Amino acid sequence: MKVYLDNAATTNKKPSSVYASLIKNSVFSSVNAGRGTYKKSIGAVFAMLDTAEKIAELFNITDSSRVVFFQNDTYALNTAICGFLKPQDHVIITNMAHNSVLRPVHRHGNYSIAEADENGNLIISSLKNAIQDNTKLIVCTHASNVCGSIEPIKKITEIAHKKGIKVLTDTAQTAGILDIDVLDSGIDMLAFSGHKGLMGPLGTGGLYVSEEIRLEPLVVGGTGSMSESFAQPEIMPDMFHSGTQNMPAIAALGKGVAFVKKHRQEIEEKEKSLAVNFIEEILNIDGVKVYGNIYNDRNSTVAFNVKDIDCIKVAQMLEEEFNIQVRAGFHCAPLAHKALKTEKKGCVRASFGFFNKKRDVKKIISAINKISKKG
Amino acid sequence: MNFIVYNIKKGGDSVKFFFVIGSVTAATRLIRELYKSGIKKVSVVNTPTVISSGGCSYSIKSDESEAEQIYLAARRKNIKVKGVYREIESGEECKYESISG
Repeated sequence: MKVYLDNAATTNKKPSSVYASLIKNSVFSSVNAGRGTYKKSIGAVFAMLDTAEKIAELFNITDSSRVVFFQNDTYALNTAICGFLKPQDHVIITNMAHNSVLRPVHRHGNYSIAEADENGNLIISSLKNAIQDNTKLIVCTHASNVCGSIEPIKKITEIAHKKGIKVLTDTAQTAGILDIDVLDSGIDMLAFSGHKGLMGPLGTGGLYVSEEIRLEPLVVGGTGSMSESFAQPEIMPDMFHSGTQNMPAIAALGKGVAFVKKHRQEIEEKEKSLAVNFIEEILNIDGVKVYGNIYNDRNSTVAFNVKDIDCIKVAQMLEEEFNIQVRAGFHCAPLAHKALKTEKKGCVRASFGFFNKKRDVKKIISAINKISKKG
Repeated sequence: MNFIVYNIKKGGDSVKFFFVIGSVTAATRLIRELYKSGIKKVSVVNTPTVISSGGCSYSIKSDESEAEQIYLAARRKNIKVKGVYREIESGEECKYESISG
């Protein structure tokens, strides 16, 4: 039986309500949301509003119309970054950022990188030193997709807001797992992935935009409203929902969010427990190095290497000989690998999810033990 | 008062209200609020072209008795009502009388 340990890429198992919703809306209610006014079309809009409300409740967002859906977190981040920044604006990212942050920021051009230490923890003084007079946005990565280190969002927003700077938080690795409260933490924009911790289907993600922020949409077109206007309507969330929306996926995401809301604390505790158990056991194996924090300020993503064995080879052996699925390489996060000092060799990443069991930890530990003895 | 006469063949008299919202998302948001308040005899419809501003537009259609509740719900949810019209179907004619907006 396969052991899936790549939940940082996507959660492999979803609650059954998610599958039921997908089937229902794909097979029996496949209509375009809000283009007609027959019952099913309005029903489809209801389903999308439901999901937006559930996400608003999860993140303590007061107005659910400020929640916008995209096909993934990357689109959400691109919209937030490219739609917010003017050409003369300066932006700061951290070096634990994924390419979905780094690449749009790099294309923008005017940016600085706040450093992290070799455990992937943000160096606050580096962030403060990076601020310039024309800094308008700080993009923080709530948890690293490589080693799981968690950035101190509240501290970052306090520093940013003192200087009138807005904060965009990438919650791809934490939404649905850690407690995220946009009001308490002062987050101005929050990008989320729908298909990881929120347990929705692939093809879902979104963005929360606070009321003080006006973003320029990247894509304009038909929104099902004000069609006499040549300009994109300025209504939220319609202005970001040009074209046909993936209603079955968004509706199913709502079911995932409902599940996560009910079990969030349990999810956080279980995932962390599996990760810590794995780290404690793997450190007993000869020649294994683990990157990132061991116990605190971490999620369930564990980065490691086994002696000098190529990480790609380790992942291959885990799959072919032991039926264990992990990800190896550079994880679309070149700066993070530089911080962790793995920029030349990369690493193996095992990321535990809510549906993993203790026996999965035992299985991968046994496998790594055997691989280490071979190497 | 403004009258726009739209001739269609119909029988009998009935009075309906159209709250022109514009966006289907906003109209649906409003109707959910109304359903939660127990007001069920309302629906989201395409705004009749004679009273829309020339493109796709959506309205809440209701009986006259629900009109005040709809207006209050729109205010509660901060949903902009672009106009309110009374549709009067009388025999062969259908008139839309602008109430506000």
